[in-house]
Amino acid sequence: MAQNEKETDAQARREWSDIQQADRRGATTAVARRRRTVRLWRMAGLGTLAAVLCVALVTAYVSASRNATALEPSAFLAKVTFRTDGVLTDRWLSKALDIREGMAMGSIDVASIRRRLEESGQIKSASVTLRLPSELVIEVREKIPFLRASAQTPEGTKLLLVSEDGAIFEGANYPLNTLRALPYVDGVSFRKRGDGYEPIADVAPVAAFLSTARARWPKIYRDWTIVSLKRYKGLSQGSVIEVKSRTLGTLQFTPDNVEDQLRRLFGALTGGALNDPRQVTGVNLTIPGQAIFDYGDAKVPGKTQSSKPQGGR
Amino acid sequence: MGQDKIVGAIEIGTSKVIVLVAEIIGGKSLNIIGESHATASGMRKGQIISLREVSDCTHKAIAEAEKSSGAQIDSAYLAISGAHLQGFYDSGVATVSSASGIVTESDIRRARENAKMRNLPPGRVYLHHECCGFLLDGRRVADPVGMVGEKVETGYWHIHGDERLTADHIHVVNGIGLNVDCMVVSAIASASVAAGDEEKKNGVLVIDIGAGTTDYALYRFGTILRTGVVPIGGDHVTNDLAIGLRMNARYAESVKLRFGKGVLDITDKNDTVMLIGDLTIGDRPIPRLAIDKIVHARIEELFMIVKNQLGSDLGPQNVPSGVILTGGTARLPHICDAAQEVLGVPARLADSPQWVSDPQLCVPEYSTALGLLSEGFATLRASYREAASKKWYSRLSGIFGK
Repeated sequence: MAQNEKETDAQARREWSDIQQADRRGATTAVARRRRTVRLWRMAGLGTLAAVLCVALVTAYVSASRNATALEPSAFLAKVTFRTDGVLTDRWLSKALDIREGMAMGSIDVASIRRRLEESGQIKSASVTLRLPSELVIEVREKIPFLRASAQTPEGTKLLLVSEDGAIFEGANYPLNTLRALPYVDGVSFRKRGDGYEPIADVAPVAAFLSTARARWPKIYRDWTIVSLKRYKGLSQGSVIEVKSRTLGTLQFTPDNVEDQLRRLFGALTGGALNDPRQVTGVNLTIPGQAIFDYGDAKVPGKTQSSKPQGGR
Repeated sequence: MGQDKIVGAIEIGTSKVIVLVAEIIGGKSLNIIGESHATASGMRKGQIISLREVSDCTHKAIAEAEKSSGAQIDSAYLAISGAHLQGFYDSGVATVSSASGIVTESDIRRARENAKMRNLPPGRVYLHHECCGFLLDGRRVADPVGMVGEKVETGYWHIHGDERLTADHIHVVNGIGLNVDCMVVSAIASASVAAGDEEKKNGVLVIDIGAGTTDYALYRFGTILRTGVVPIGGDHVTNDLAIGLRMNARYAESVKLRFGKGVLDITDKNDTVMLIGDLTIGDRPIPRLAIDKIVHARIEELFMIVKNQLGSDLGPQNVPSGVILTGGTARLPHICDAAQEVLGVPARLADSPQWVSDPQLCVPEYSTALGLLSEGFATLRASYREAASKKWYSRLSGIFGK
């Protein structure tokens, strides 16, 4: 009874919002139908877009999972490939870098390996590549030494090499013959820097000079034992490269126009103007167009002999 | 972000359907982004007489407004008018429950509930409940909460309408796939933008003269005192001209717009105007005074009805801010003079609201639609605030209740 009264009261106090709003009979028009269709298409479009996005996400996730799974069995280093244009070997590499097969690929720091290789001295540039799934490829270009030096250290005498960029390093794996063919450097002081030495400045002309001599006048070059840079001041005026030769004593060159100077020397030696090469204690080639031979004080009365260049080899 | 929505304010008038599209951002700001209007058909005196015809023109207007705004309306605000709307005042009383005599929210709630207890006859639905303020032990107060007293009383102006006619309006909007979120009586909608707060406090009568009906709302103490609908509008003037001067409705409308005046102008006594004015066969001269007499008679009758309905509530002492006229027919020249003459209080045309910058919308025809947006937005904000406070209350009670 009370419930009926309540319902009656509710009926008598109806608000406009109590009117059912879903009834569309009789009020639908062409515009309404078009609007509803557009809305439907729009919703369908959005739904399709959302579905495509979902599928793309799921596909990406599955693909990533598969890749991870594929990497898993070979996620360890199985092979180290080492390529060089010089004398270094795989053995040297494994000593220098502490890289072992079987280590996790993820733990290999490519940048650090490259830095360590380039700081080792003998390597001019290095390229380190991780080739998935399990290979490490290291390619290096080595420096070419043109001088050697003997340094006294607390551990004893140490052989050092000088490359054409002036870098001083302890060479590794060079054949003995190669090292023996290199003249010693003199007249420069080695300064320590970190674990190595400070490079010698401006030695590129000297390297070019020795390279030319080695390539074109090997007979002359092979007697050279020491190259002194005491009076060497780069390409500036008055700069002199002094070379100690087993047969000709001290040879004096200027760093420029070295080919001409070597040609003059060769011409003087082979032209027959020289009395006895064994008595020569030095040759000065620093004056253009001349090769001034020094015979020492006692042995030759004339002391010096000037020789015109004969040209050619 | 969840409080962003696109709303459409729809006014289905007797002669015109107006749709405004607005964007509500964050439940805090409202921007009008689209507008359209269409000639209404299937309406008479604010009531639907052909659902199909009204649906056709309304749906066209909605689609056009959506096109102009580039957005789809999420929900609709609907204005309603018509002679079926009626109003009554009812009050509710509650005794202050606390021993200290301090009025609490619960006392106010009980008073409000008592004021809304009256049952309606079958087939009627409430459309609006407008709180008319509070009396605390007989003295008028704005907000009695926290004040000391014994009895708190509140009054409501209730507006109700025919359920079926109201449902017809709602179903027209439902037909395009929109739900009506807010329904506002046209009189309240147009008054909300036509009159300022200060005028409403002092006392003001806003009259919205449309094509088929005239809606009015009387304000005092900042709240509604009375509202009403008179089933007379601009179309009646047109009809009178057509009958009185024996011309068809199209020419009569043209004559009304070109030569109609709200007052009798003695200088027009010997003046004549051409019916069509472009030398068409059948064109004829019409005495201007005859036009004035017909228009004035109907306008005078309209204001007389309003005056009679308001009775003693209308007077210079009750409406010191005067009468504000709005709606399409308010454009009739000298209508303010006619209103002042009949109602006995100063009358003026409504200013357009300051928050509307589009000059196209700053015309009397749009006052209902603009008011609809304003009222709907205010209701929405109130509901957001209530929801937010309930949320905080439930959180706090959850914390301290444990």
